[in-house]
Amino acid sequence: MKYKYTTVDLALLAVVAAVFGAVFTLAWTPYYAVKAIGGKLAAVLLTYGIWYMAAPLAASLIRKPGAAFFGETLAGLVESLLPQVGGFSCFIYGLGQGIFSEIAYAVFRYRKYGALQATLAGALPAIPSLLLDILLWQSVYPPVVFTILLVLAAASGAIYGVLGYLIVSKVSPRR
Amino acid sequence: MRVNPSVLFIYGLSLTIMAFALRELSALAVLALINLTMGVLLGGRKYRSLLLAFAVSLIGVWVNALVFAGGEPLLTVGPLVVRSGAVKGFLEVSLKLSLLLSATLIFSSLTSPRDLLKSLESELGLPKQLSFMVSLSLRLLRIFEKDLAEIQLIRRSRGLRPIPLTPGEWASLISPLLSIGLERGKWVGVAAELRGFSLRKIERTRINLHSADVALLALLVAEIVLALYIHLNPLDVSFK
Repeated sequence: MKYKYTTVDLALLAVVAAVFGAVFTLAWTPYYAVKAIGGKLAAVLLTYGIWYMAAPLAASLIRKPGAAFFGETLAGLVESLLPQVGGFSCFIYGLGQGIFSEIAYAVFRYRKYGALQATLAGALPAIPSLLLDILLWQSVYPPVVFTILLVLAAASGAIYGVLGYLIVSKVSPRR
Repeated sequence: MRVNPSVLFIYGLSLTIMAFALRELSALAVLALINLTMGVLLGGRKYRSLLLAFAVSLIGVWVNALVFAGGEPLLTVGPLVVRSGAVKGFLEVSLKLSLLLSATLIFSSLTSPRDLLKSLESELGLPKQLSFMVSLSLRLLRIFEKDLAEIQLIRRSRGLRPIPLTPGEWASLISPLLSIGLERGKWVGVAAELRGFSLRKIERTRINLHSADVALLALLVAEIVLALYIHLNPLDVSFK
């Protein structure tokens, strides 16, 4: 197992962060569009996973311990340094999501970077993401809504997690 | 006004943490009033679009509060029932979101991400690998935004939705973006290594605080103390 990051690895992580910096900004439009038509639950199921996708994609690409954490946290940090309504909360969300994504690879002792791990790495960030949502929104939504949101967010994350893995398999098959 | 970027980052991050942690309406109101005033004065003109987006998001908060929040009915207008929980929920979430926005407005109007990275690296000892990744991402972001616009244009010309909705559509948008990006990233990495990135040593400098930095840190301490005081001695704002 390789632990040391080369400069090319660092540059590839920066690429993932920049790609998702642009994708995250774009993702707000479908999020609000789906929310307006189908409500919050449909919006969460269809779009939340996009915000969890940087971690499984980075890990499938770099295949080293910490790649999922850095991929997600860095994307969150980049998003938070740009002027937008969420501000530094994106960094806090990214940090939490990155840690939970990393767990998916750590439990397999960083030996496997397959579709199963990517699915888990996509689904697990729903936990910190919803916990932080609870801190912000607890006075508006009742607990039952948060429970449903957690299930939907995890399902969405799992879908986008495996999608991240498939994208990497397609664009960078030799890695 | 010249403020140390690291101090601004610490201030913005602390405001954000307080937005997550605080639940007392009075504490949130005081902090939001101070910081939103500062934010609007400093960056209100430059970031008008952010203020507009914030105002629109408040409509969403109000609608969600009306639908989901419980409590005693306060007002009934036809089928619409405004409950006490909706008013409290709307106020609390709006104040929290305004704290998040204030942090962005204050930070963005007084410094830039590049200055922040320089300051974090030389003054606070951020590892060079981290600052390399963040500064490269920020530089690449503008390029990827252009690439993204081009991909959207091509999607439109092919009769596809320019903004993806389903996972499959997202995959067809991200794949070409990542494909170009990986090639760029690989060569940027090679070039940086050839220019001696691994051997580069960071010159550490002492953190240089001016009067504006000290004032901002003092304000932060005062805000934390005030929030703690109100948390321990809550004012009676009742929404049954």
